[in-house]
Amino acid sequence: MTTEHAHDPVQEDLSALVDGELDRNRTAFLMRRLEHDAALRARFGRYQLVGDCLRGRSGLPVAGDGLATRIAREVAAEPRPGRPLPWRTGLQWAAGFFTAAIVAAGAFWYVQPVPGGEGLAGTAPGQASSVASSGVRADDLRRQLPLLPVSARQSQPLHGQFAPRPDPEAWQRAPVLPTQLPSTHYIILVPGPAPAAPAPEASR
Amino acid sequence: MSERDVDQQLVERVQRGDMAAFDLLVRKYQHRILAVINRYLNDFAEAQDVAQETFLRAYRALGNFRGDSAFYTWVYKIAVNTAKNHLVAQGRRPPTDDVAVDDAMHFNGESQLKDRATPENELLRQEIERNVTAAVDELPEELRTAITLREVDGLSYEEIAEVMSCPIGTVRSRIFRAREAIDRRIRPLLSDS
Repeated sequence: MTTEHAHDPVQEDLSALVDGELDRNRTAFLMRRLEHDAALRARFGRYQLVGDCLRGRSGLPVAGDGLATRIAREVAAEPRPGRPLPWRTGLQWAAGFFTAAIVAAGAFWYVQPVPGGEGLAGTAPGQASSVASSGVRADDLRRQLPLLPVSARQSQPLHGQFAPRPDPEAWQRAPVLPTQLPSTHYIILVPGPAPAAPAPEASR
Repeated sequence: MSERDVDQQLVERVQRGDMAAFDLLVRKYQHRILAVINRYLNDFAEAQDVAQETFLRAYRALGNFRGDSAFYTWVYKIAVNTAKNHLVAQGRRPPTDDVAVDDAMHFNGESQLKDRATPENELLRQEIERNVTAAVDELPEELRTAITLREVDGLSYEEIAEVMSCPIGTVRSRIFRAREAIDRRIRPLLSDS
């Protein structure tokens, strides 16, 4: 087979366009040519078909030129589709931002400390909180809690002072408690005393 | 430019009123879209009508296409919906085994379609395949290597130039000449289809 024939640069550009290897300027030039050259557009379709065949998409039905021609005729009677409106995208962003702002404001208002309220929320700004020992020892808790039977593997990392020991009969002895607290130290957060006021300069 | 970039550029041209750009998108994807629709309808003539409706819908909606997904993925979804609506309108039940959108790019439809196309279309398809294979076999070695590396292995021109130890311009020319040789073989088969 001979491959020597007239070399059409536009057709070579079309081949490069199929591969996505044509630069923007030449693409723009080729697209202008394609607007008025139905034979060149049909060639583009055949190049695609050859690619589909070589890539193993052999099961695809062949649409031929007829379907594309019919679609082109129908499309010619349609109004232009237009471009996505920039303001629509902007509006979507604005709506998203507005929703996020409302949620943030609501969350901020919800977690504001209530004057006279209980717990840390009632602590006056600037008033220090301290962490005090509750005085409850693990042994006290252990008396009230069942020693849950655990496997040897589970108990290994807990071989410290308060690690539970396996006790298969604990299930029978144990009272039913609403929750099972872990065996460890417990600390209770309480509001601390107000900071001491500066001493009056009465001694002067 | 990647394939997706090329498609996006074509879409933007359509949005500016270039009908030829839409024609290129149709010619590029018509076989795959037809295959997807035929999978639902099991009737080649009917599938062509629904494919036409699919591309028309795509054209009307193209003003809202912003390129968040690949053009083919977007058209694929339209095709599936149009095919299902067509079946429902005719009182037929759509199949439940959808092809996932992620697989749509690589969907070749071979398993389902070989026995569903019309005998004429099946004959045409076989004839085209035979001619493409024969044309590739007859190509000079350097053209056959270039077109195979591009179409089968998906290498870029730059990568092919490296593999074949030649300038990118030569790669571009070899691929074009290979395509032309194959096109000369299949053009007569498609002239009246």
